[in-house]
Amino acid sequence: MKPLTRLAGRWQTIPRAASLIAGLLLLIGIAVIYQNEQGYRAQKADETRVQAGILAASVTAALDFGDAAAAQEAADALRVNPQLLAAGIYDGTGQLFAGYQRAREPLPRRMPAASAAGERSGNLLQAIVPVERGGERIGSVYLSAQVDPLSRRVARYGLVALLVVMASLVVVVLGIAHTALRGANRELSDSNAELQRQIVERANAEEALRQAQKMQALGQLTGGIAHDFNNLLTVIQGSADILKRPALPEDKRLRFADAIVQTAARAAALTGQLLAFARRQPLRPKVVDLNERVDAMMDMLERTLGARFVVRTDLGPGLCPVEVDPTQLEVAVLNVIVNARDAMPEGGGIIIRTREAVPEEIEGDGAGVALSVTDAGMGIDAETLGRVFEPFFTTKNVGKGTGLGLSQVYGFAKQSGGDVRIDSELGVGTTVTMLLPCTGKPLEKGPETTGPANAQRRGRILLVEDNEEVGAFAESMLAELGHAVVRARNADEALASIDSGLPFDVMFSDVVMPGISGIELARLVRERRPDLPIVLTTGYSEQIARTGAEDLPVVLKPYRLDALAKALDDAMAAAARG
Amino acid sequence: MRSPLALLLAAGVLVAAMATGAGVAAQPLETAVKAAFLPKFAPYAAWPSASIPPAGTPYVVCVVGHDPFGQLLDEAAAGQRRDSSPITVQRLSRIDGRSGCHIAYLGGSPAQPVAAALTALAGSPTLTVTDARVGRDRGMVHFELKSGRVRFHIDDAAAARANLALSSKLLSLALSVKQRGRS
Ligand SMILES: Nc1ncnc2c1ncn2[C@@H]1O[C@H](COP(=O)(O)OP(=O)(O)O)[C@@H](O)[C@H]1O
Ligand SMILES: [Mg+2]
Repeated sequence: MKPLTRLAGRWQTIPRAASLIAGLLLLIGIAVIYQNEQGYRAQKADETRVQAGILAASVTAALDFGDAAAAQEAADALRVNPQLLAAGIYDGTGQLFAGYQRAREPLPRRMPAASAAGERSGNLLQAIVPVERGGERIGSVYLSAQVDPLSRRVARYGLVALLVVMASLVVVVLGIAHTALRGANRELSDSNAELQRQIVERANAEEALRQAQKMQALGQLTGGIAHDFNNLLTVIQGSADILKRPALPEDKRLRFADAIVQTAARAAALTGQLLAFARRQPLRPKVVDLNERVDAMMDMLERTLGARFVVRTDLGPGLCPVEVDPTQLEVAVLNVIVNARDAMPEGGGIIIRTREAVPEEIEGDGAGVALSVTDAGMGIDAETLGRVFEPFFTTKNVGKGTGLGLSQVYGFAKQSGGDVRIDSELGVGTTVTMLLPCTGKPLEKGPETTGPANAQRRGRILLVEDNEEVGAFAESMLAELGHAVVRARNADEALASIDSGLPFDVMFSDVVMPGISGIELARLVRERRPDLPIVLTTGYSEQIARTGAEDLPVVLKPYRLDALAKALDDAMAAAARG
Repeated sequence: MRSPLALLLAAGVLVAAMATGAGVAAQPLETAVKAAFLPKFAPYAAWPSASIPPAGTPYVVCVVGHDPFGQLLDEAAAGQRRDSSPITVQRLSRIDGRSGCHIAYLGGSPAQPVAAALTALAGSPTLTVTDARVGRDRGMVHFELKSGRVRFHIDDAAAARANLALSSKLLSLALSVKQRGRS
């Protein structure tokens, strides 16, 4: 139905000129054939008349002398011509004298009416010629002849007709092709416009989908994180509650305090993941020795994993140092270890291996080290493998997985100029390998000392913190470290304190505050007291991520007691030096 | 032997009866046909120019000696023409080259038997017509009854000797044609 209507549409659009030419050609063809046919018929009629004349001449005497046999003989002579259907010789009175007839063409008994003479009717040509002797009519000869049968004539004109029709067809087809081309051009530009519109529409739809996915991911994330956080908070809360009990034995007190420390560390790792994902965590690369780092983590890892897991290390000797953010490295290793744990619900062995990277593993020239974690878990199928690095991609239940682990690992490795590879076999196990480039810089000695949280220096500290709980907590922490603390709730209060001439040894300020931010405050304070050391603290700060902390030291929240003590110590020491 | 004889006899009687019966009935018709034929020969013959009658003057058909036709011939002649000339009938007891006849039916008579008439006309441009009923002597056209129809033999050689040309159309109707010499 559809192509039919389309064809009909095409027909209407054949240019008038093409149809005109085709029509003209057909007309000329018909005219030529008609003329030919007329000529042919006229010639046939002449021929028939001549034949009749010859017969008339040859039967004159026979008619005159009444010799019917002779007349018959003369008439029969014409029988050899199959086109002559009937021949009759009539005497002066119009009576049939002699003649013959073929089937279907009866010979009139009497002389046919004179009006029929030379007339043609359909396929029949008739001729009536007088038989004369000395100018006197003594009888008539009647002949009826058949023109060539239709088939013969069709065959004769067939070629002409075919040529004409072909020519007309060619013209029409050319016409159609021409219009089709024009139509196609128009359609093309139409569909181009349509395509453009669809592209815009699609972009819009994709944008909407992205938004929806974001929302969904956010929902999943919030759910997962809330769950994790609740678990962690339960541990912290419960431990704190127990610690509050009077007369708690020393070993128990230590165990629960430890539990709080461990759990908080995990919570910190969790928010670290989030921030890494949001790319808002300032990277603080350090030159470290991988083996040292792994060793340092072992305690924490074993505790995280529990008794059902056995972690084995295989650390290659003499590896080059790498320049990475140690916290991110720890989080990455933790993420991979947690995945390994989840892949082996019944427990099992996990191997952490370090080695020199082979050249093919490292992009560009230069050497690298590989840190891999191998489990004997369920493995990853090919389809899943293609997506594991996607943020929020997880095959685990809500609360179990956030889909941010490998995303963090990937982001960390890439940001550190390295790469991640995963080799997995279903049912056999998985090896995740982080490849990190070697650095030429010398090793910085030692991470934060995990020694006793004792401040070497004591001083007067201006604490700027808008949050009441954190402020109170920080105040008590600083007091615990032996410092004298003046608390300000915002930048204005801080500036007022400084302007009042109180002698501070260091200002410890939050970055994100309503009104003037910590960074701006630092600038303002420097104008007044260029020698006053300043330490900033933040959970995250867009400003620090964007512009850095203007060379000021930053303590990241949540901070540990020793980290805080060290930062303040360093700041005061630097100020004392110079 | 008796039956063939009887058969022969019976056949003889039958033929005689048929002959007489047919003769009585056929005779007038046969004569009428011959009378009609005679003037019709004129258009199929060509005379030397000296013998062609001037326009308006008639061609002459002569009956020499015995005349079987009577009025029949006159009527037939009246209905015939050759070109613009009428055809008239003359009856003669004798004939020769000077008689002025274009066509002559030789009926024979004691005064001039057919053979004598033919001799008298030898070389003169007269179309001689003889009749098997009259005798065996043959002119250029010789009537004979064949299958109950009046037919004729033609002696084209004799016509040639008389400087006459006979139409091939006429020759085609003849029972036999004595061809003129190719000279
Ligand atoms: N060692 C492993 N064995 C099997 N599957 C793993 C392993 N590590 C990662 N995966 C798959 O990759 C997915 C993404 O991991 P990840 O980004 O850490 O998110 P999450 O662990 O929260 O699901 C996991 O859900 C899991 O299907
Ligand atoms: Mg994970």
